[in-house]
Amino acid sequence: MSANNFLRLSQYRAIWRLRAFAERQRFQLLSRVFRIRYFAREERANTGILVSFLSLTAWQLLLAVFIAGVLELLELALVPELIDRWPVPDSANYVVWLSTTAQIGGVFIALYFTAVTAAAGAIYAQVPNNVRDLLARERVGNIYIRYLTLATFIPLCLIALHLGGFEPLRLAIPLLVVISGTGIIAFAALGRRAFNLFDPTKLAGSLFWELGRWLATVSAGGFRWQDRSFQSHSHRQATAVTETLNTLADLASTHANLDSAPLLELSLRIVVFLAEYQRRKLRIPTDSLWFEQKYEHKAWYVTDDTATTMAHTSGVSLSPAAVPTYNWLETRLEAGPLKCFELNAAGKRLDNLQDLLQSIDAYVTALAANGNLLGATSFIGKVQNIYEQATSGSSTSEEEARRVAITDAICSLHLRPLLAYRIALEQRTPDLIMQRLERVQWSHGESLYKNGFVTPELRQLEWLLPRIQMEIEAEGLVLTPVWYARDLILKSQAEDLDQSIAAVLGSGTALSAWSDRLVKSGFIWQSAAVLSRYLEYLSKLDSHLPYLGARVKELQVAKRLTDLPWPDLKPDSWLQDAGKQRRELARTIAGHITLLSGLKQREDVPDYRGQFIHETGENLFNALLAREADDAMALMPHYLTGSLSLFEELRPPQNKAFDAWAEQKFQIAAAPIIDVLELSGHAKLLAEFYGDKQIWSAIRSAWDVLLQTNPAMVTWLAAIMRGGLPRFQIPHRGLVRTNWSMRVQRVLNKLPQRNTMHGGPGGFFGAASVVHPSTLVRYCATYKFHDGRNIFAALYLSELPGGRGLEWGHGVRDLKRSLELEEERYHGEDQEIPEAEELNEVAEVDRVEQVNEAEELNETKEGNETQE
Amino acid sequence: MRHKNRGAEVRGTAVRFARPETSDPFSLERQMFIEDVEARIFPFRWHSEDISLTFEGVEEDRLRAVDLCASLVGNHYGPQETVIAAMKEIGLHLAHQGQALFELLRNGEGSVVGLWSFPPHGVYRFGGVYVQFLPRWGWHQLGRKYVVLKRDNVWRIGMPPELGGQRGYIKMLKSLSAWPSIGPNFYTEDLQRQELPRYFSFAAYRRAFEAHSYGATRTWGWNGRDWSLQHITEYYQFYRFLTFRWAHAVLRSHIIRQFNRLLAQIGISASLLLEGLRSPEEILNVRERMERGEIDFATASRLTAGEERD
Repeated sequence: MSANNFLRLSQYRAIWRLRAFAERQRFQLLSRVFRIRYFAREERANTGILVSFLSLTAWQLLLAVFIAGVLELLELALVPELIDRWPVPDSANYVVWLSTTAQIGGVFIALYFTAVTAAAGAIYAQVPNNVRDLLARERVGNIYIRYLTLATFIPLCLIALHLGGFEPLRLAIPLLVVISGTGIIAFAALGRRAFNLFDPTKLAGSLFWELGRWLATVSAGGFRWQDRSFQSHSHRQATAVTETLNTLADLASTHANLDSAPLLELSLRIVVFLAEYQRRKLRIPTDSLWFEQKYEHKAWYVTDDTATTMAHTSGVSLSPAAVPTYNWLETRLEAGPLKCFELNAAGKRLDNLQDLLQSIDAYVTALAANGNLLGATSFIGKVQNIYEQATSGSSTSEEEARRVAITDAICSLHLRPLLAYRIALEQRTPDLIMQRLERVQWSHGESLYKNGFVTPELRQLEWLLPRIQMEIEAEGLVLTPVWYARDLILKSQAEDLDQSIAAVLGSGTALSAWSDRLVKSGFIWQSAAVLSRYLEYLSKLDSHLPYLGARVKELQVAKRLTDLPWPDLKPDSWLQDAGKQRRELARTIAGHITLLSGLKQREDVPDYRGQFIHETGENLFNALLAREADDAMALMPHYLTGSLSLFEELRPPQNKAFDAWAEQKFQIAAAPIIDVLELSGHAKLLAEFYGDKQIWSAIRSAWDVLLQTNPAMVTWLAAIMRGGLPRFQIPHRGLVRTNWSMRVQRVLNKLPQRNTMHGGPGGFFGAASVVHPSTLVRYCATYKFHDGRNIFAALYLSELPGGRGLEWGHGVRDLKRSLELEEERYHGEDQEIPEAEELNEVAEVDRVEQVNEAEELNETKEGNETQE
Repeated sequence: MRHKNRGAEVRGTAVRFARPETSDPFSLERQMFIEDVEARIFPFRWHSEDISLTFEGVEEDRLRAVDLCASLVGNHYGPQETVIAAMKEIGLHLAHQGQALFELLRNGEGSVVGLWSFPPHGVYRFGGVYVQFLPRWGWHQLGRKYVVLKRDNVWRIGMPPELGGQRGYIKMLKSLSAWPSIGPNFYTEDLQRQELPRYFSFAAYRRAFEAHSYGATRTWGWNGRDWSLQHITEYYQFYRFLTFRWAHAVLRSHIIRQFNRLLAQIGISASLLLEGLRSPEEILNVRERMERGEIDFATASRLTAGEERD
């Protein structure tokens, strides 16, 4: 009706009364229609079960009929004269047969109720009413009983007819055969189901079915989905169902025979339902009464004058505002699975926990993918807390390994929301949003919920809908352009992004805090598992934050309404937060090297110590490169200790038995030590490069402490320098060290260069020399020398009192000489110094010496082998 | 040289009379609309150096034209103020009645020396004459029942066709005042008795009223003095805001054009020239740019207010 006609009619009181009356009548009528639809749907489901009975029993039934038919055919073929016509059954036999059929039905009914009564007596006597109702509402059994009652009653009717004087009905015989046969054969299948009655959780299927039905009612396109009364009714019904489910979960958790598999099965179904619900929820208006209403009371001094004046005049307080609790169903239903998780954690049922964590993984992914990242992180936090509280006591070695596995699985949950959120964001770019908005039909509110918008976007669209419908009413067309709606949605995305990133960064803090608590409780392995996942989490964060930053820019570029109050998104601060977490984690991980080195290594948990030493090496190198001396100072002692302990563990035993792989094993064991030496050399070079002594002090102090307490170590460090690397093959962990060298070289390449010309009888030569006060830096930059271990040995180890007389290898000797030459060359650059030739000569000498040394080593090795 | 009759009171033949006030209880919206139309045809302030409304032409004719304006509104501080006041006067008549009628006052030589406005109620045109039928209550007092005016002695200006013409305008005014804005009469009466009928939905009524009001003033883009976003989007609000400015510009241009035509018709070689305000085409252009999302609302508002050009 047009607005003008509506206004014309609305001037009459009678019309309004009529309208109100019509509304009431319509509600009554629709309620009846709703009941009829409800009944029809019930009957359809019941019929479905009945048909499934028939289909289940059809094969056996047909077989029986086939056998009977074959017999009949044989009889016809053999004695045709006997069956010239179908004789009317004998009256007495007819009655006896019918009564036997009826008795069979009666016996089955009695048997079924006996089973139900037994189950009710054993299990359902002490349970709340709503759980007992489940037994009464057990759909399959009820349908079977209805069918059996019918099958029992039909023969009685036929007997009654016959006793009333009618002839026996020949058609009744085949019909009753089919009906009774179905009943008898189905009883076998139903008998097995009777055992399910002893497990109330098996009856939960009807509850999920019911919940799904109420959900469909309030979803866009459902029957009277926009009607507040119907929404409220659906909410009440769904609340009753959730209460029954929670009662079932409580019941299962308190019964010894139900708290394992049955409770787990119920919990899995709940979690799967909740994951599915996240998708279906997006089809419900966000202000629907399906969502629980919470009252929020207004503050007097921030409420508008009209409301406060009216309240004051009436002498009443301000009316509270009803606010929908959007996650009410999740809050109610999550209790069951969390209880299950707690019980299984306390009962140390690893398999159950893993099953449950898998479905929880899917649930948190669904939460994040549908825009509820806060809900996802919050639920993970609950799982983590429950697990912490349930496993706070001491554990055996075997339990510890299980706990590590579960801890690892829980920590991996923290990664899911981030990944799911990223994938969801990719589906919500400004262009895609534009395309979705173009598909929206504003004259049909239902259209909003069928185009893949997530909750914050739906809220904006729901705000727009009545306003755009007003335009259609006033102007006859939609004037508000799509870009305006898109801008509002992008604003909501920006707000959501702000909150979601805060939640994501909060996950890292939660992991860090959990690790600290575990260390305090003495659970080092579990703490290592947490840190390992935390590392993965930060690595993923590093790869996703640039995308999120780019997304912020994309949103800002796309927006056209510059006067809309957008949240102040600061991608740089996200990166800073992540960087801060990474630095703190680097220190924590380094600290764990020492903690883990103090434990006996085991094979049933991942090699966290190895991972942490490697990671700390990389972190240390990054700190050196970034001139972060404090970080280097914090990491180096742990790294050095860990590498030494690794060497001790990996080196071949000193036995007299011949071992052909001894040298190779030694070189593998020496690899971590060579890593430390290499990094130490890079520290020396970078300290001179930056002119920052603190960088070198951070490394040197750790060595000083170590070598003062153990001076003999210098000797075997010299041995490692000489024999720790294979001569003619890529050494173990060589790739890692090469990578470091290349990164150092990239830094050195940035140094300024000075071009000089040298002239003489032979002609003019141009040369470029690096400008830097440090001889070491100039030499390394000019000749691309970045062999860190030789630098460290030449400039530190060989200068120690115990290291002067030791042989450190040709590289160390040559480096010292080369540095002297570089010093001379640099200061006498104006003179004609044939430094290039001289250095080439040095390089040639080096090469010859290397070959000689290799031959010497081989000879020594052969000699050793001969002696052995 | 100024005209002799400058500022002198000259009465016309046509009769001015006020219609007895009709009891129209629903005229609040209508009144607000008329006020908003009338008030913004010409800006409130002319302090800006960029805005001017002046006559072009030879000195004598310019003075005659100013005198013509003064015959409508009397003399103001200066010629420009007098001209502005005269244009506003014409706008006022148009806003109230959708058209304005003026009798051309001539001197003994037959030159037009003034304008005499008279109400359009009961005025009909028959061939070359206008006949003004006087209201019954004035027959005795005035001593006649009608007045006949030559067509050449009457200047008629109506609403421009872009804004629906005179008939469309009157129809729109009637539509605006068709229904009470605060609820039906029975509801108001109930409220006065401190009763609140449960069956009545004030929200539904108000929404229908807003839709009706927006629909009725669709061409003009009037917002009903409602700056809340309770029923419309901010975009639509600005769209209507710019449309309302466009309507004012159309009406302003129309008045000036018609006045210039009158001057030419009565042999005054001067024409009125307005500078510094946006033309209807410029405003439409800004609105189209806003539709395409090239400029935001604040910029659109500034560009159409005459304060800024891009």
